Amino acid sequence: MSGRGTINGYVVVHDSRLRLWVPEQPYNVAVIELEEDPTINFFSNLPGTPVDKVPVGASVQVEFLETDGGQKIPEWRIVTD
Amino acid sequence: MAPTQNVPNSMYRSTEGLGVWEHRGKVAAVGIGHSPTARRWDERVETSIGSWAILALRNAMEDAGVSPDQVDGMVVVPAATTGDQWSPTNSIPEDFASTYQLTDNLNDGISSMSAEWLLKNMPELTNVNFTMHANGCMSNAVVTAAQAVGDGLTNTCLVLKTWNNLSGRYGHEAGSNSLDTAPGNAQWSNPWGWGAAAITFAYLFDQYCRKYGKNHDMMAPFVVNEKKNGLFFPEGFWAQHRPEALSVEDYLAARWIAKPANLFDCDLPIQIAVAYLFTTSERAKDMKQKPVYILNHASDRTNVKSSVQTLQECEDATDSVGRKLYEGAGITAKDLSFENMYDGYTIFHQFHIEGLGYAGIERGEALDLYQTDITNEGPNPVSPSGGNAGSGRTRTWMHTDCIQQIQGRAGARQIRKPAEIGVSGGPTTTGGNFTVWSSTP
Repeated sequence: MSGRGTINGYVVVHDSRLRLWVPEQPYNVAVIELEEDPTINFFSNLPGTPVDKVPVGASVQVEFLETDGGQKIPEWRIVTD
Repeated sequence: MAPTQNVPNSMYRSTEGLGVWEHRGKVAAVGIGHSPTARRWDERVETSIGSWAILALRNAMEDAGVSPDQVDGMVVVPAATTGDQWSPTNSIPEDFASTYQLTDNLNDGISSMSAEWLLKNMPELTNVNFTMHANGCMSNAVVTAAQAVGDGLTNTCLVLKTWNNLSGRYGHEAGSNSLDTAPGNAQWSNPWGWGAAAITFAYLFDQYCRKYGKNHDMMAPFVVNEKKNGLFFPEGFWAQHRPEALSVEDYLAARWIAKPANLFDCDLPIQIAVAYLFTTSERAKDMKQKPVYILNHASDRTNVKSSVQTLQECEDATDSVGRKLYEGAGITAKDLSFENMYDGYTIFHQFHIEGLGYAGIERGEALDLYQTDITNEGPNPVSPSGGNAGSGRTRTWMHTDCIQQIQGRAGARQIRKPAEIGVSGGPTTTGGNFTVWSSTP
């Protein structure tokens, strides 16, 4: 797998039911299509992308963020070149 | 009596090519029973969903002119909320426990509802020998009861959905929403804050707008009409408690919940019980109300492939529902007098009615239809019930309205053109259950 994908679309969450996400509001949450199979999707908060300024259709590259508990979760960052 | 079973898959019509429904026109809805509504449960026994379920069932029997001993079947939706359950650490209110016979599930009658609880607490139902639990919502119970009556499993069948709303913000304590970690399936969504159905449907609506060149403002006439129709629904929450008209300006100025879904795109959770009485078309002739014949029922069982439903999956599923409904009912889109497809969230109603080809629309044209006369006085009534948006979260208004429209009992909501064939169902764009209702068999 290339670890690359495309931003298919997004939502800006202003009123979350998830307790830990309430302090982050409003926040982007995007749907990423994998380059190898666009029917396989991942969610992303697109680190570094301003709220509601999501370039739909842009290419993204996966990166893995480590949580406080040591778990790694996939995130996606816009490829600028 | 044996414990109540869930509906077997064999009772659903979930594939295309099944032909005309074998019981087309042989099953009818006759009676309707509603409880009052409340925004939340005040923890009094007389406003519990148990008490209101009994009230709604008795109202449905009285409405149909049926005595309790004539009822031999019951289809019940055991889930009474998509939000919070009564906490297992809370004791059951004393007066509730002393008023009713309890079951092994201590939530029964408070935040869930079983056929067993009802039979324990409605001693007048002396001849019920068929019970079934339909998961999810009234749409499931309706298709199940229709098939059960058609199959001869029951002749005179009560159909019940309750909805509870406890104190606190709806759904914020449900499942893993308040946890510090994301167990099970939530591990694939919660870490990115994808935590409610509103987000899924906001995403799908955004996809829809991008594909067809539409925008959220175009939803305003539909939502305003929903709220107007709801104020003409005397059984509904808004008509009873907050008779406030919504303007286009109000809608466009509303705060976002999950952009592009705003406050008025989301329905208001309430406390209620709703019941219907179904029977055979033959038996229905002797009852108090005009029979509303069921021409077909159909279900969708799409398995979403990845983390979130795609627009393509959504459109394929709703297209297929349209084809199945028409095939089994032996009708075409032109035969529909009105539609009452699910609306709770308003931003997916267009998927359902485009799948039906309602009023001649094709994919991407529903929001254009919304800019025309979609009122109950017009040529193409859209959601004359007002749906969940108009009367509160029950997932029942659409069915009640279909029955009332065809019986000519919809009051101020009565559509101007003859109400001959209507369609209702949901909830969401995949996984729902749908029914075609008719004035004639």
